[in-house]
Amino acid sequence: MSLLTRLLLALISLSPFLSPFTLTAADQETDSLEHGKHEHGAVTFNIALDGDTLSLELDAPAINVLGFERSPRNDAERKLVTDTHAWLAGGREMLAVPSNAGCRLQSANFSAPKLGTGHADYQPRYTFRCSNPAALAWVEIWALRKLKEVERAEVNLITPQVQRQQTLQGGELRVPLK
Amino acid sequence: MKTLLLALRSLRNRRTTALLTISAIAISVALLLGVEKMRTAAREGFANTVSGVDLIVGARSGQLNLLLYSVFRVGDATANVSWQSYQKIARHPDVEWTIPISLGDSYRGFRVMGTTDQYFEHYRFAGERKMVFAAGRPFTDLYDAVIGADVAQQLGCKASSKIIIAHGLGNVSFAQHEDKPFTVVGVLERTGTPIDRTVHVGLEAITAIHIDWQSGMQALPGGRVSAEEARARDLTPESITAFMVGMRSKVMTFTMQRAINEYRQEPLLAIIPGVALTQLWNLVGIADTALMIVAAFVVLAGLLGMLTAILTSLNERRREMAILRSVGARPRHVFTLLVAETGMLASAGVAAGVAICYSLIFAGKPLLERRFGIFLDPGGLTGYDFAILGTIIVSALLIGVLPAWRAYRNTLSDGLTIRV
Repeated sequence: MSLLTRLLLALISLSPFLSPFTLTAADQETDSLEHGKHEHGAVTFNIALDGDTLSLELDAPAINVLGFERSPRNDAERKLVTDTHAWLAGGREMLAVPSNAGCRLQSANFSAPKLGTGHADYQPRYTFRCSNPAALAWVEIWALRKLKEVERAEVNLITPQVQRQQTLQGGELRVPLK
Repeated sequence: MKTLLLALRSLRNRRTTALLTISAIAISVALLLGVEKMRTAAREGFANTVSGVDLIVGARSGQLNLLLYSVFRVGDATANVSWQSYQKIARHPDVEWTIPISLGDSYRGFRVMGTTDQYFEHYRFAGERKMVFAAGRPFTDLYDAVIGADVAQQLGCKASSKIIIAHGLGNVSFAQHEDKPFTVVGVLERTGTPIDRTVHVGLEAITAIHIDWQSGMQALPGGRVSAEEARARDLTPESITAFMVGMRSKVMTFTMQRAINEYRQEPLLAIIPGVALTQLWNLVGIADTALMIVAAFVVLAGLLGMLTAILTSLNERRREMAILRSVGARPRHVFTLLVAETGMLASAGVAAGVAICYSLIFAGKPLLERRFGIFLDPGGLTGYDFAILGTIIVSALLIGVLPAWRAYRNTLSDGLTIRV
């Protein structure tokens, strides 16, 4: 890792300590003390389909993405973080769909969470365009194969016809869309 | 084949017992299948309560709480949503339509809901079904009301009836909005959802009837605002109980949900109705599992009844078996004969049970829809149904092994001269 990256990481990990002093009065009014929910072992996938657009959101604690939830301590861990972030930013091997649906990744929206500052969550978002959305009878969440020690994978599904929640268990990857 | 024929003839010889045994099994199978069909219908009916709505937004509480008071009219909101926040979200470019709802008053035990005409336009249930007016039209005037089918039926209201809304909930309320009566202008057709038990009025009407109320009491006569005076006032509500959102694109639903849940000015909660319904069903679905277990035990009782009948008949049939042996039947033939007999009884029982169940469904369907709003789809037998029925027949065959074994043992020791 370059010196610059380390410096940046150090700065980022310091920022919560710095921030209270830099808050303006206006910020304080709107700044919320709330925390989103964070449950180890539980990951959520939000899948939405409308027209030719298929979107996937992942919400997972860092512990289930990396295997740890702190700053990487050695080269192996640093490599793991780099590789995982590259995977999440690239959006490959996230989702499998029937091949005749003709889906292509259109955008990947990923920002790495701060590690080493308590709880951290990964919340990437991907958008796919499908040339033949009628063929989308199911999707398979391949991302689950890469995640670690997932106890419960909840899938929230929205299509123009369907709204439901499904829990994937025992290595199951497939989510029917009909 | 010969054994089957023999078993059939033997059964015909004892037709009363056989028919009784078959009916016992048939009734238990009809019950089990009926429970299974009702269970499916209930689950679907449940999921069908609301559709076409992408998000429901209310004060931050629990997902189920919000679903219960906004859709099922059960329980109460912990807080209201400010009109400003509602307007801000309603004007968002990704939002196509919104349905504001305001709850809290009642009419003789039925909840009163303030809303807009968007409600009749966009709210769906049971897939794509829209609300249909059995009589009249949506509200147009400030003091117009539209009532659900149950309200109309139980209170004998119809279009043009006058109703006086009570302040708060409960059948008998001392605080009435009697100075501002409403006219029923529409009656909705039965939906089988909580809509049937709701009195709908305009959102402004809710503001109008509370315009001169302070700290839960109406102002003294001098400070009162009459129904006509209220029309001239600004009737924009300060807050609403909750609102439903329809998105331009379903893909934006999760993003909007997160934005609302992280909205800083006001603690709001956005839920996806289908997701919350799944969770609620997981909770209440336990009851129907219990029902299914009871039905399974009834089937078991039916099968045990069959076993009793066959075992008691064995003693009377010792001579029959001995004669069979004398004309060349081997002990294993006697064994197969009895297993075949139980198999036939059970299969006939299952077939009759299916027939009873379906005739009951067809006969009761109109009544169930009209009176209870349960849309029972008879459908065909599903794979799961076949699995259940198959299990019953296989269990019957297994149970049949016991009398067969007894008969087999008897035929080994009995001669033709046994005393019966």
